[in-house]
Amino acid sequence: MQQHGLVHGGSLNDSAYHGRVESGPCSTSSRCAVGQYDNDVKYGYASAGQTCEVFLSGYGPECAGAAWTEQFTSLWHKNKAHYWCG
Amino acid sequence: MTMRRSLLPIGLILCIIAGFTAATVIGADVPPQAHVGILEAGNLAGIAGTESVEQIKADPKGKGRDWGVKVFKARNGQTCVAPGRKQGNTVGEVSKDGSIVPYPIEDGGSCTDLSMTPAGVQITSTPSENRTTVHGVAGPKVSQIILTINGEAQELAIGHRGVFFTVLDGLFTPADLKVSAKLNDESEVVLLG
Repeated sequence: MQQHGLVHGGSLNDSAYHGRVESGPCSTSSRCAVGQYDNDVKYGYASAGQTCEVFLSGYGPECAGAAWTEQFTSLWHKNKAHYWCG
Repeated sequence: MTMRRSLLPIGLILCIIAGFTAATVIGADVPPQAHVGILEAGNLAGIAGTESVEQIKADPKGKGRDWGVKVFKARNGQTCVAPGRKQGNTVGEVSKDGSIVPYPIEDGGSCTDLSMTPAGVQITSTPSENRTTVHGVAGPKVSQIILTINGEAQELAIGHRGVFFTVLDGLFTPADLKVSAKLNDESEVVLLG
């Protein structure tokens, strides 16, 4: 499954949360997942044909929900950002 | 009465403007509605009992807990890996209170179909820690995994369950490094970089 373009996952209902996920073009030289929580951020890059994810943790049950853009088959699942590339 | 008559056309014009504005806002130019909730991990979910911790490494600067990779099987049969700090027999992320949150395999991970590709690799850079992990899984067709940084090549040992892993001091992207797999037939496949 090949995905292109940027995805912004939106934010949680918790106003203190500033979660963001995005997907770059799914080449092996571009970010395939970004997870951000306040100043904590992780960037993932993956080889073709595999899922890509980053995991941010420890932010409690208030993070167990999010908004996402379904058209990109991306998701912010609990504290993890997943993308399918390649 | 005269005043009411003069206000009528103005009200009509305002209604037309408001209607036009509403139609524009609701129209095709509006981005798709975002969904709120949690998607099921589905076939990406890890199967409980298949996980193990492999490739335990000390932090490159000796800071904090050791690192390790959790490897597990997803429902779709793919092999999945997830790096993190090690504590006991699990790996996870250090939360703000310093405790470890075990990596939740039920939510899936970085997974590879080894029937389709000889190996899968992901690098994850974390600016707050100034660390980059290189983690992945190699299938039976792979004899070596080679990581090249600034022209210097090093072999990443393929361990139990095909897992390879290293932790780098600093932040790296595929522009800074190359990960390749040497296959049993002596050919080489560039996985990343």
